[in-house]
Amino acid sequence: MRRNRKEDKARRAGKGLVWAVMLFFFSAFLLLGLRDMAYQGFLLAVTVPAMIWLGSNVLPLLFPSDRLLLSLTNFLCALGVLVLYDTSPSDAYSQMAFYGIGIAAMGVCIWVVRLSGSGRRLSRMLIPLSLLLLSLPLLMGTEINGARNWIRVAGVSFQPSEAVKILMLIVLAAFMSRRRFWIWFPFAVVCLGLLMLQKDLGTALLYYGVALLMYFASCGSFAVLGAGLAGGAGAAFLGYRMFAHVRRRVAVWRNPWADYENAGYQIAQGLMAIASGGLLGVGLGLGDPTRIPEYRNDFIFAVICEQFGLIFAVCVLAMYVALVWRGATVAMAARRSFHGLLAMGATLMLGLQTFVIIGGVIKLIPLTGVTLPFVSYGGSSLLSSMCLIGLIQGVSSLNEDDLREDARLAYLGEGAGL
Amino acid sequence: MAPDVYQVVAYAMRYWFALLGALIVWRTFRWLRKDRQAKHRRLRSLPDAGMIGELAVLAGSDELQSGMSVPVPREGVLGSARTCDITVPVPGVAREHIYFRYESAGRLVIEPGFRQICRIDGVPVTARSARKRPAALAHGSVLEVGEAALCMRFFVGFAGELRPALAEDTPAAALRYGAVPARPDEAGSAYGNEEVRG
Repeated sequence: MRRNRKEDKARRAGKGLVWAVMLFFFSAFLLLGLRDMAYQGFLLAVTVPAMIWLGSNVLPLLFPSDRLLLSLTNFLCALGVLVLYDTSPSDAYSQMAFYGIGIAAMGVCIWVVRLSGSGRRLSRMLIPLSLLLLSLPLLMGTEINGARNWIRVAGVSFQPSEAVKILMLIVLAAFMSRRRFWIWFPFAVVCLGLLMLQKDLGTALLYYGVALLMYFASCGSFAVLGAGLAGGAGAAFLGYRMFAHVRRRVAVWRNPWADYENAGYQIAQGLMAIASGGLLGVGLGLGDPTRIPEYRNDFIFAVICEQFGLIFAVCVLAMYVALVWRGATVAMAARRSFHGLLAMGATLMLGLQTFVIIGGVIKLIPLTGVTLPFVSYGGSSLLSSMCLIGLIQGVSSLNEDDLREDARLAYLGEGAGL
Repeated sequence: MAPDVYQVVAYAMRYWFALLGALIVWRTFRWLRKDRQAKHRRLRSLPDAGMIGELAVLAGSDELQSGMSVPVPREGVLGSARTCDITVPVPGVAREHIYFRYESAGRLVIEPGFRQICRIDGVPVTARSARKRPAALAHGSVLEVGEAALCMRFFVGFAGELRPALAEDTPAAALRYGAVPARPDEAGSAYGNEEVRG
């Protein structure tokens, strides 16, 4: 009886979160609809909460998934659509379409994890595929913002490094779990080298950080972690000496106002937007976020700060913390080291990416060109973030299966409250 | 809506959004906490959760004495390092000696590391031989690694079909029944005399 009451409480906590998220987006889109008196805003005020409800309640029936992770993902994706609708409505519609595709991709990733076993066969196939994908921008890529990391196929542009994120995690987890250092290490080095050749330093930083932390998670050696951090610092110093654009970014980070009209313009505008937002923001639909050049991508967090204020921005950060916490919990509960490392890698990738871009926007660290997971505009980024969540969800569903199996074997069945 | 009216409404709604943001965060962390408590409750009723069996020590060292037993997870590394899934602090055992994984009922596949060797029921297994022909521990098999000898026992539900007892003149049977007079689980505890977590 007591246990049932406690489970009811846990279920109510989940329902309360979903309803609060739905109410938030209903009122926000309604407000924007009233501003423009356009039917699109009113339509979104109904469809976005409906999608959140479906995503949190119906999707778990279609494929095994963690409802809290789904709710957090829905909240962050819908927040991206809201901010984009305010600043550039056509981008908001395409972001919603990518969110739908992302849900399907997440479902695929869940089943890949469930069917991959120890990941041995899968990882062997993924090594050449990853290297091929990462080489493509060097052969036929286009240069955007100083990095040659985009390719255009059949009229569609995408970043292969976003897809390789997922593949790399599977390869690293499979070989690290079996302590095959001389397979995963050269693979990671070649991936990093290809990214450096593309001058995609932000993604290279992410790959390096995630590989290092995953290796630490697999072997638990602080000496390795220290050596890796020292190596990373050495590589950063070398990069600073070798690349002019790295030196420029560090200079802008130290004092954006020194070159306000040129290199420092974006970060200075971002800082002014955050400052003008204050504690409660200037109000949804007000302010002038389009002054920031990359307001849809890298600097979307500054737009959130300006419109909703510091209190809400801290709430968004707390949602990312909850996401990382949940991912780490799933990873630590995994029964197989491959699954544990896979979930940990996906969590680290999301957490580190969030830290790198938010840290860059608030001038905590030098700015690197990565997107804010789930929120920033961009199909490749949203799809890869949804796939990362799919990997965590897959491991989470396997953990649930294992717990049920344990209960069955212990002859407890329903008596154990399962 | 007129711009000045909208400005007043949007300005007033800032408090509503901040309040809802705080509510969402509170609900999220409450859900996390409740879920954690529920999971702990479930695990309390399943002390062997995550383990497929145990390795009973037939020959070990001062730190891992005969009669002890070590729980075996589904997958991991056996070695003398503290960070291994199964720690065997016995002379002759490398820091990371063997990679193992539970493949199917009653079958724990063993892959020794590079230049490492072990014996399963007296038969030597190396990294190369395991690649050619996978080696596995069955229920009752004896694994010799370094100076340690460990007898595999699967828990109920993981053992599959139990194989017949070994002939008394095989080295594995001599190790199992000759060296240790009493089987560890006959002492009354689930893990024998003393439990060692890997």
